Amino acid sequence: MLSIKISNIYAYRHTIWDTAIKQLNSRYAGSIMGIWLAIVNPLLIMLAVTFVFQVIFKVAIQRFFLFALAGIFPWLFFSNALFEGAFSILGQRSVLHQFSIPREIIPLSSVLSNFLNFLIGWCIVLPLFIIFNPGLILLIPLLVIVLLLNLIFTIGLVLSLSVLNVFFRDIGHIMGVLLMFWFWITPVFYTVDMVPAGFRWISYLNPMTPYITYYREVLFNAAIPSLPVFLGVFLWALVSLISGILIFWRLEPTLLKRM
Amino acid sequence: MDFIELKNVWEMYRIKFITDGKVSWDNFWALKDVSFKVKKGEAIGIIGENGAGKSTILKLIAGMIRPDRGELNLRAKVSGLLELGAGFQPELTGRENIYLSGSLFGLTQAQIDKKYDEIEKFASLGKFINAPVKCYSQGMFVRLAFSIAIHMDPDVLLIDDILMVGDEYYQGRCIKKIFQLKEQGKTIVFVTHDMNMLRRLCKRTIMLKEGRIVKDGLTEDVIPLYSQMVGAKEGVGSLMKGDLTAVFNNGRLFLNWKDVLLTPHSGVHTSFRIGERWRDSSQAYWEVEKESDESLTATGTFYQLGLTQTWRLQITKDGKIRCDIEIDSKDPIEIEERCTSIMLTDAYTEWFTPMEKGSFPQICEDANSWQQMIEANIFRRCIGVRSPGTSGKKMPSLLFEQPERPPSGYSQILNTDYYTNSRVLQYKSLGAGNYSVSHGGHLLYFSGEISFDTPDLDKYLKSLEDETSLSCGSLRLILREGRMALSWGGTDLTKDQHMSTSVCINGNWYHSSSARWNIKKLSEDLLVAEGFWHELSVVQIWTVELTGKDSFIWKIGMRVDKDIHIQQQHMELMFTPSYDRWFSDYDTGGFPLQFLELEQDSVQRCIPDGIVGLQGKEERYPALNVGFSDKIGNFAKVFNSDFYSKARVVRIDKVEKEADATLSPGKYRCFETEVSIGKARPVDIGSQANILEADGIKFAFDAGSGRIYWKGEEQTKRLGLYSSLRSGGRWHTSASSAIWKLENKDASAISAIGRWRYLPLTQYWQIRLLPEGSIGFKVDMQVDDEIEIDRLQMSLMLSERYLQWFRGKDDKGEFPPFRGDVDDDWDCIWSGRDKVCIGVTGGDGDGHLPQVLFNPEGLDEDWSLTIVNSDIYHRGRVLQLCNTKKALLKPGQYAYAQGKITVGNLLW
Repeated sequence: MLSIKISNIYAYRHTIWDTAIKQLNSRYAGSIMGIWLAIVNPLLIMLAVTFVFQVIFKVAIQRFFLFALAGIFPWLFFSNALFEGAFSILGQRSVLHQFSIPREIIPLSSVLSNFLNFLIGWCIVLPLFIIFNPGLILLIPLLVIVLLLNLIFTIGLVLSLSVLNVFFRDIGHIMGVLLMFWFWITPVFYTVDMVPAGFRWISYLNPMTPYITYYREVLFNAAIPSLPVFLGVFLWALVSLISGILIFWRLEPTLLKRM
Repeated sequence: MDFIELKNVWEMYRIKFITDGKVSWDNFWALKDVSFKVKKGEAIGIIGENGAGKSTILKLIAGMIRPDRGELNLRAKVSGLLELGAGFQPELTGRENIYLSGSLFGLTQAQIDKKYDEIEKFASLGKFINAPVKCYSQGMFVRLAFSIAIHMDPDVLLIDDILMVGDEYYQGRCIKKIFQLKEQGKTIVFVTHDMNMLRRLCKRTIMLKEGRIVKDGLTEDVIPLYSQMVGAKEGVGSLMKGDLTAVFNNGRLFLNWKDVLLTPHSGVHTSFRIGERWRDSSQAYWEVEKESDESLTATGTFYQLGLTQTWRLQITKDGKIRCDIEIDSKDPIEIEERCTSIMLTDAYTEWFTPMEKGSFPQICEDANSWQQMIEANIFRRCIGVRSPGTSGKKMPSLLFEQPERPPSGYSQILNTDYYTNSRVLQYKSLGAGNYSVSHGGHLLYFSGEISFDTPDLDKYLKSLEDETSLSCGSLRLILREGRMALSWGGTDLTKDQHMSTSVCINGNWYHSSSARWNIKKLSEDLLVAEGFWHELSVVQIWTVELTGKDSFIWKIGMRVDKDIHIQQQHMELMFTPSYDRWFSDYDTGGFPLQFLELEQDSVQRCIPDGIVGLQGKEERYPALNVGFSDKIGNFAKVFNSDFYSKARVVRIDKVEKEADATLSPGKYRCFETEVSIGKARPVDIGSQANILEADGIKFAFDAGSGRIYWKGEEQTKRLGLYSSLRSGGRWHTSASSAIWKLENKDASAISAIGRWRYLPLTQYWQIRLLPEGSIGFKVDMQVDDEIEIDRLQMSLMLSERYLQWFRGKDDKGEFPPFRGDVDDDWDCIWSGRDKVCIGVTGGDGDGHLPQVLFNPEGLDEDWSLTIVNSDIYHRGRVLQLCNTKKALLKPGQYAYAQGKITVGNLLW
């Protein structure tokens, strides 16, 4: 059963890739700046954040803009992928009604296209960090690991959200607010240490905490993340993927009747 | 190998209902226990009403949804167009979408490259292929989607024909492509509402109703069932008795006999015309009230018209369906034509009425109009079909009867076009003014019976016909609704209107066939029929009596209830064109071969008394004598009918003492004629008393026209010497408008009196043989009543072999070719008063022709001489005396024309 499913999806790997590329294309098709938006977006946000936190709030952290960028850049990928992924099946209704394809392809390619977008952004972001922290070059393999695990974590969540959104349309409606809330309880503009001890459990329960911490350790501090962070990143990816697959397969047979 | 297999498939949708803000969920079973298999290369159709589950089946096969219960086995790659939208990315171009769709279909880049050109070509989008599909028109969008779907090289192609929108040209191409794919051995599952396409594409069809398979079988068996069952439920009801099942379905009554549907197309239905628009009973909104298994009442409302039609259907004890249809209207409405028809399967091969029978021709593929089997405009109280052959299914004979003839109603038996492919039995009436539902009200639309498998059918038909016919030996007379047909040894001698009458009252003509008739057979050789027209207070009474094995007397009388003004009346006998000669007591002649667009008075005979007869070459058509008498004012004319009727016509007119007669209430004798068969009376012209002959010249006077022969050969043509006058825009010629009597006759002179029928005129002709081959004529005229005259003429029409004309001694010319566009005034070549005489010669070429000279005498100043070429139809050279002065002639004596005709060689 599982192997059939997987081989079925594997048979459509070209399709996933093609669709992701096409989505990426169509995302920028109407705009003049095109693919550069993938880079400009995080940079603009970084500038805004720096303005707010360093100029107005005068935060004590040195090179705060790098600190913020290391957190906000992965977060942007995650939240965009989650948001788009949650609507991917609803949005590709006509494709599902026309082609008999493994349905997983739709959320997968949606996440993939966001991931590709994310990778393009790295082309500018990574050199920036390296300029300030040349030692970072040695840690790039660690970065690759977290990128993959982050991808898996996102895929898992998107799989479940994309189908749940078909059955419970409320999910789509509160996604925006939920993501905003999630953003602020995730240590993006602060570290876990800065959270008062009484509230620290929130950070520990938040699956995004290890990911963001991991990114920042590597990018901002050019350090190897601690073991709990490693474990957290790995476990959350696993839990998300398995639960995502289970939910997806559970709901998929009646999917098209509800659209 | 089974490509597709559905085993007891159930499919459920959960539907959210929101009533007054309250949400409830309900399960809806779209498919219930559906099982079928499709083999490789099979094309199957799926039909059913909207919501029957057709699309659900397509979605199942396409893998969009899975069965909730049961099993679906599929061993094939499936493609098709299941939904508009077709999985396109609106931002991407047509080309990019082709690649994207190909990839979603599971093809690699290289595979799509190979197909790309074909897809683009079939979609025929031109440069738009490189534009984003969001800019496409609906048609372009569908074209691209369809092109992609069929080029994916699937094993199974799913087609839902509501998605095949587009212009006719493109649809044609799609259909062609689908047929191609079928030939290539693709498996096709076709959902459609187009029964014709279905019939052509799929041998097998599955019919669904409310999620269940109702029938899975041969398309030709499923379609009839479908057409019986589809439609709003409150408009459906069925009747059953014995072998008969009749299903009323929203304005159509389908007939089944022993589980065979006799009416695959439309069944029994009504259609009527208001203004320019035809309405069909199937367009109404119907409600059926079933009374028992053997009777029901259906009420159909035409909302736009404020009109209801009520059908009362009942199966009688002897297994007939009795059918009474009425119309009620709130508002005044005028129904101009109405039909009640049965459309029957083409398995019926023969049709019949009590009077005639025949076989239906095969309906060919190129038949695009309907074809009449029987002469229209005749009412038959019973029409039917049967299929006597033993091959195929056993079909019961079917009789459609309407015992009461509605006003101007008639019956038709038709073959439809190829698309409809049916036999039609139809009763039709043209609603006259009185029969409209004029102030809101009630109209009996149709009342009749349909019977099946009638025992002793031939006997029954014969009994129907015998009620209105007389036979003796080979002779048979059949009276049908104001027409009487005559046959001899089974051969029809009369045709079209057969023997009928017409009356002109207040300027309107009333034909006997538009009257309502009551026919009574008083004895084996006496029939009496009474016919009355609704708008007239007149009854015409026909008495037909056999007087032997070969003769009968036909009398026509009239009973007048109120004073009535009868302008003209006549009886007309139309015989088949197999009769090619006519004869009378005076003369004989041949009919022209061709029939022209208008009735052709070419024979130009007004026969005063005695007999007129017809003769044919074939033995089947024995000679006929029609005897009549001028004692009751009857005289006869013989002529060719128009092109449409193609008949030889003997018309007997009645001349009243005054031109118009007002009849006071009472009984009148109008016509009396004795027709006898088998007696030819050819008349030898030489033996007749109206011939003058001397020195090789012969003059024959014949009822208002004179013919001139020279050395035994006729030099005149058609009318010969005749007088004509125009009054009130109409021409009246001495030959066709007057009744002639010879007054006096000796060796060298004839005098005759001709009385005009419709003008208060009498002409006296004196013809005298003069020495040296000349003929003198003198015509005088007596006017009895004041009369307005436009033009007077005395003409000599000569053979077209004359090529030259001359006037005076030395003025000559050639006749031009005949022209077709001249009408009343023929092609006048010359007109003048200054010449002594005019004439014609054969020209240099024809030495056999004598010259003919036309000398007027005592030419009054209003008269002139003219040389005229007739029109292309008469083809005669005409020498004329002509008076074009309009005048009001007072009663009195007038000299008309006087002159001399000389015939001979080298007169000049």
